[in-house]
Amino acid sequence: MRNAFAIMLQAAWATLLLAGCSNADAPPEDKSAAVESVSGAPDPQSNRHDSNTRQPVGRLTGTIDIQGEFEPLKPLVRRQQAVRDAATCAAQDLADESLIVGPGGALKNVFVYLKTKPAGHQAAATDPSELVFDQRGCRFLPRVMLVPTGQALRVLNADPIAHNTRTLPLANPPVNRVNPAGDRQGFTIQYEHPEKIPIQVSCDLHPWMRAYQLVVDHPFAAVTNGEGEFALDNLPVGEHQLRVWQERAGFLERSLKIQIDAQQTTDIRLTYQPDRFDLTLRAKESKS
Amino acid sequence: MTFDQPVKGLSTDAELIWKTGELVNSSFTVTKYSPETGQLTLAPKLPVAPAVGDEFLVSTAITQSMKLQYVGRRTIGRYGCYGCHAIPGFETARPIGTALQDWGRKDTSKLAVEHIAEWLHHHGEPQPDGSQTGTQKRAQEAMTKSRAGGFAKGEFPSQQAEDSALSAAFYYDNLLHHGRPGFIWQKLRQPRSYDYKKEETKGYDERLKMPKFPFDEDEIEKVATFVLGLVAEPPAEQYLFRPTGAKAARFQGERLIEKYNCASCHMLELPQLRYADTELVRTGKFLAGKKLNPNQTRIQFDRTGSAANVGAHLQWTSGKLKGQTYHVASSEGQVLTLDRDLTVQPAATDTFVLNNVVSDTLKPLDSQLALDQLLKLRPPRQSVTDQTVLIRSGGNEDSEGEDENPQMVPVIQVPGMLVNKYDLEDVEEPDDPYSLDRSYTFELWYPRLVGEARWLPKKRLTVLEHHLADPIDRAVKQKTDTTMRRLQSLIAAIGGDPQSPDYEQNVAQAQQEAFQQVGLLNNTFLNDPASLKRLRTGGRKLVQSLQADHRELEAAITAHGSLAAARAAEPARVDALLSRMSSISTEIDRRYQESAIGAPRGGALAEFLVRELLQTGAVDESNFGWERVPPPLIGEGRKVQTPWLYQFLKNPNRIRRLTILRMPKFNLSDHEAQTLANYFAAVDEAPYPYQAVPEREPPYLAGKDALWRGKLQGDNDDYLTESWKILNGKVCAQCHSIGGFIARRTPGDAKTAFGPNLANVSDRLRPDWTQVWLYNPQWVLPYTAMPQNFTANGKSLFGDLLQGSNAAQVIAVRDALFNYHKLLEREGHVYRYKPGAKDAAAPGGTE
Repeated sequence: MRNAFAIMLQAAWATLLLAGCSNADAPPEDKSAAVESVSGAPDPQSNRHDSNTRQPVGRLTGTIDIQGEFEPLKPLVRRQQAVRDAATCAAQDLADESLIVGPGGALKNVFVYLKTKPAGHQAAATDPSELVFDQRGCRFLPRVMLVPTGQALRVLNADPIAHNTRTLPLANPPVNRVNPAGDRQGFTIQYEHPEKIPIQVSCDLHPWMRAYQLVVDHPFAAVTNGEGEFALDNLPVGEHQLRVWQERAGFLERSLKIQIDAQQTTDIRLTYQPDRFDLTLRAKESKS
Repeated sequence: MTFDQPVKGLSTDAELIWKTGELVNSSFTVTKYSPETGQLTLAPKLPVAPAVGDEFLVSTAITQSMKLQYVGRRTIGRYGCYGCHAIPGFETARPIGTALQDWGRKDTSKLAVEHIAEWLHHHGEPQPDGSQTGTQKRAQEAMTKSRAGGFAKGEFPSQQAEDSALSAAFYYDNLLHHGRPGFIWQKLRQPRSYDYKKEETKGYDERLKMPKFPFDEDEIEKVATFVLGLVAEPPAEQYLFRPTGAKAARFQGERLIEKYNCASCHMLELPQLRYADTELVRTGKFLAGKKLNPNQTRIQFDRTGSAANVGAHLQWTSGKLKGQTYHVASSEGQVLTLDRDLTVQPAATDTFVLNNVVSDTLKPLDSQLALDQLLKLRPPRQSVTDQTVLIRSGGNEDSEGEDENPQMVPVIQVPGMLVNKYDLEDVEEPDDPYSLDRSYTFELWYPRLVGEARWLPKKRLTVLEHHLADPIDRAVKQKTDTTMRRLQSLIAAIGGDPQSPDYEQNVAQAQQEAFQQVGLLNNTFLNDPASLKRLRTGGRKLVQSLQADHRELEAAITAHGSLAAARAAEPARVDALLSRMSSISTEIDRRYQESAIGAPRGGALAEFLVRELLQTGAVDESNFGWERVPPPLIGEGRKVQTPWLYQFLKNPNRIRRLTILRMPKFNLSDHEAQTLANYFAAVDEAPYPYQAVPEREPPYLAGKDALWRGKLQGDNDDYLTESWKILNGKVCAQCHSIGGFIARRTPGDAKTAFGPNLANVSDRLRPDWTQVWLYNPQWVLPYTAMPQNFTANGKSLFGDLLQGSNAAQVIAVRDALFNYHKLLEREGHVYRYKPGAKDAAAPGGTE
């Protein structure tokens, strides 16, 4: 079982500020450029309901932050450290991006998504375009991303050295494939099934390399931006259960209940303490 | 020296003394007492030979309690209570029954049939109203009806009824002629009927003692046949089981596996997922004419199970259905009729089929050639079992409300690994066993057939908990789940604020619930030994220690009045008890879930280490953990060459560089190492002890050279040289030591994957296995870090060598590996990078 489950049992300390109607006039289609959101994938099983476009919808926005004192994370690889392919990988310090904190404690790269697809949700057709997943300077780019089921994900390598891309999914078959040096053609991955939690992607040649991909079959998922903000648009009116997942902490929320009202924006603020993020333990490890 | 003459002066209390035996402190023993005269004859105690057995109790002066013990022990000895019960002191006592080892030839004149003819004239056939009719009458009727035409003429309801009536008539007749078959038949039917009219002359403790066992007539016949076959002679030579060849290797190997405890570290057989998924079944004739095995067929009920179903289920499981027709509901709301031998009646069988299973299609990266090779190496076996389960239909996320019609669904059994199971906290309604959150994710390790569909390794199956096929999952699992939660809430309650007004009430309520749950859990395991067995090794110990802690806690509560008071008085002890109970309960739950999946054979240490690595943060994914622990030995026989395995067992050297512990040297004898090496090959039906490697032979290589002549890059290169360029290129050397380049670990590389030194491949692996491995490593070992380097389509990682054909390159790499030493000698050391480059790896050295 994933390590994250152990952490999930820790006591939650979250502040919730439910501020309905604060942004009532915001158009539901309005997508902030900084907020990632995805369109849905087709689901043949759900076509017995009417299209969700007829249902009244609302919007959910929010910010996620961390409040409290903690030691900053140490770099994963220091400049000129003796690691494999040091000429490329240790050309500069590689920061530990497992926790990226912005101004005012804003948490970047946190997955926010609905626990279950809303009843009767009819997904849009698969986007024929390809998502790009690159490797540059011994880092995966982007580190976190949303991948709709069925949509192709092209894996590339910009480094002058080989990488391998190994996915560790739960519902989909795993993939482990080499990207030779400077592979700009790459190969594609398609996930058939949605996943409950983000998939870990790693490189066995450079074990500090990590990325997380959440495979979804609905558009109600987002990743927080540098200001810790996210937005979920066109949510059907009613009560939903929200999941909040961060790579160091695992689930920050397993099923946070939220209420969506028609044509209104619900805004939430989630605040967590550093002890949720395994920070002291990681500090010890990097010393040894 | 004895005193024969009466001793005067003791007569007043003599009788009392005799009766109570209160002469313990006296230096005399009573030898004779005359009630008429009141005279007691005493003799001084003499040193005598120590008495043995029960006589010891009365060999010296005795007390009342000694007398009682003596009588008690003699009674137990006479009645043979120790036959079933463990009684101290009777460990070596002989059974009271007649010896059976030669009973099949017992002289019939020694059979005490007594007044049995008279008994059977009036008795022997119990009637529903409590009275009995004579067996004689039954036998006569059976003969009359049979002579009148039997079943064919409608005299009997079925052929089976006729057969059983005639059997009874045969035994009856045989008994009247003092035959052994008749005697044992009646002995098992009514053991004490041979005492008929004998009680008058027998002492109360001399009567027949064999109890009446709840055998039916079928079972009596089976037991009688067995006992009649006991003739105390060794079995005839030709019937002795003396396996040879692969079978013998397996038997001998199993002994060594046991002796050296290989299964402690290595997983020898994968867990088996057994489940019934209604998605697999829609309509058709799956069960047509199928005979259901009552021991394997279970009807699983859910909330929608109707009363009729429950009745059938109860009757079925308690084995009392013989001779009846019974009905269960089908998925279409029809009634499925099963006849007395559990064959599904054709009329109602047109509702089931296995037609919804989708074959796995090849992924774009996988080639058909590779798949063919995989199926040759691991031929897919059928996964649909004979077992069926009645289950509620539906189960997809959109299904709401109840499905009133449970379905009979075949059980699918596939080997693989559990990669994820739901987390209790994640379940929205923890008490609801049908919750869609309660699912398990399972990874297939072998290609399998499901009906006609084919599934490939790496496939992930997500199975709802209530679709798991094993019978007691839900009941026991629910109890362990609930127990765990109640204990946790108890811990939370007593850790609460004692000043709060509800504190006492909360603690008392949590305590009551938790204790009730522990009791339920104990009973569950005590009443169902199968559940206990399924907890795997040490299950009984776990349950016992949970019980012990439970009792200790109850004692503490009794002593202090309440749990809160007990905790106030002895906080450390009470907290320790509670947390231990909670962790034991978690462990029981974990093992139970594993057993619901079907426990693997062996590998407990490996599984433990994977959990430890995860918990300590050494790895963050269980796949990474598996790379570092003793590997599962599934398919080892088809993987490695037997002579290499022999060498390795004699002197285990290092192969994998990620492991956190090394295989110890077991000092096996030559013969043992040989046997064990053969064992693995025999289990996988692979040839042993010698393997041909044609890829090394001149004819094979000459053929390849002829094929590739003029198509290679270098003018002077032959096939092997071009193969060497592929193998000894940048790709393999990323992880493997090869061609004199030693992949070395630096402090910064602690977690980096390093593969085995490729110099060992030609002696270690089998060519077929190696080829599949090169094509798609995760098909062979799903957790491996080795990436897929050769694909069906797409650009080759190895440039234009062998015309850039992935299919040719993979064969070439295999051939280069099996000609490794020849190539190294011919080509010399070739390093990954040119000397002087920044990332250059130093030649030579050790790993």
